[in-house]
Amino acid sequence: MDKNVIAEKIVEIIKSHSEEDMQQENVLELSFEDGIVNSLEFVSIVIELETEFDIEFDDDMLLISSYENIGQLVDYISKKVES
Amino acid sequence: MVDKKELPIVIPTVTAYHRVSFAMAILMANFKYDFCINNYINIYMNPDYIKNNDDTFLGFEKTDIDEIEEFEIGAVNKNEIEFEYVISSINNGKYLFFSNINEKYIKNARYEGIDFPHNILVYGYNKCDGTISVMGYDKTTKMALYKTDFESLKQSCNSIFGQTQINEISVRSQKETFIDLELIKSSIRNYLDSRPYIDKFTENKIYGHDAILYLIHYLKCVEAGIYDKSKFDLKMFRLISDHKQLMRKRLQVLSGMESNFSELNDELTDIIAIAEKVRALSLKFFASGKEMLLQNMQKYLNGMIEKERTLYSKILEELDKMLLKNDLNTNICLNNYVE
Repeated sequence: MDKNVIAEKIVEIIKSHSEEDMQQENVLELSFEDGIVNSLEFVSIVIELETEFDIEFDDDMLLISSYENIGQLVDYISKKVES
Repeated sequence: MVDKKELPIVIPTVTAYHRVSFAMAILMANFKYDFCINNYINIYMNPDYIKNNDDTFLGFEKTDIDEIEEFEIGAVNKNEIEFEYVISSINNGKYLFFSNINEKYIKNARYEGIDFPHNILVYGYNKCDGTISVMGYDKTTKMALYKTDFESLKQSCNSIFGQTQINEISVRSQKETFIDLELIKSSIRNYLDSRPYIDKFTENKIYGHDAILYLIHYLKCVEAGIYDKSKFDLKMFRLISDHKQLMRKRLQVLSGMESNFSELNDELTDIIAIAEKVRALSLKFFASGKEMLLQNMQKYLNGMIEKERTLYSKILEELDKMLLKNDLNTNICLNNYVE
């Protein structure tokens, strides 16, 4: 699956859980530390992403703190999808 | 004449402790060192919580507002509460703590519109718009800072629902903070030496490693279908995780006093990572119901216990050395360590 398609889908799912304005140009650079979503919402996002991409997150990657920004989450899921 | 003023306040980073959050908010804002370094680390879990929703997880010591040594407390008659009174108190550096106030009339409060006794702390005022600054649960159900108009506070004070008690709180001028080494030692010992879990749910309290063993047992019971997974108790996982954060604060303070403690930070970081991972897994299980996650949680919790035994034993050894260095003087003034 194309990485851009994966990124679009991930951003769409995060947006559906976020109350923050995510209209900026480089959305992949948005940091989770800026409070886009909280840890509870993040786990809900993980579950949706697992279903969407038919993957299983590693336990160590369940924490929102595992990712500096959305781009890192995209990288992680892209690798999972590839493998 | 000032038109508005707010006293310093910090929302505690640890959110599970409603009972002590008000005291922590004042102390953390007024003292260099966090309040939670001496006590407040044992997790007391009451198995009956699951049945009765009894909020007695945590066996805090000396954490009620009127027991905090750093505070001077004065009682206020609720009939005295006028805007001018609030202004005068704040101008004199006194916070106003309202316990069991009916939140029904307080705009922006968690229970606005509902008869519900709650606690709030008033820490500021604004004459221009007649508002006061409040710390309490807001609509997001989180402990927060918000504004409300004074008249709504007064209406709540006068409500016949609830037994509102009001205290003025001022921080003692001598801002010395003491750390009690023996108290920390006994707290850690209690944590480590808590009774091994036995299959006896009638016990009132379990704590420390006992609490974690209970949690492992709880997970097994959920796995076996003995406990209803739709009523999966997330709060316990948050408490376990919060406890590690408090331990980190304590170790940070000790590290500032003795470099040997700094070397233990990495081990604690590993433990914190496990606790957070287990908490994330608990959230994932709560949302997905995937039973394989229960086994992973048990595995990580068992690993965490082993790591904690090793680390806390080392901390106890270091505390003993520190006590000897200080001629067995257990109370150490932290102000001596200010850079």
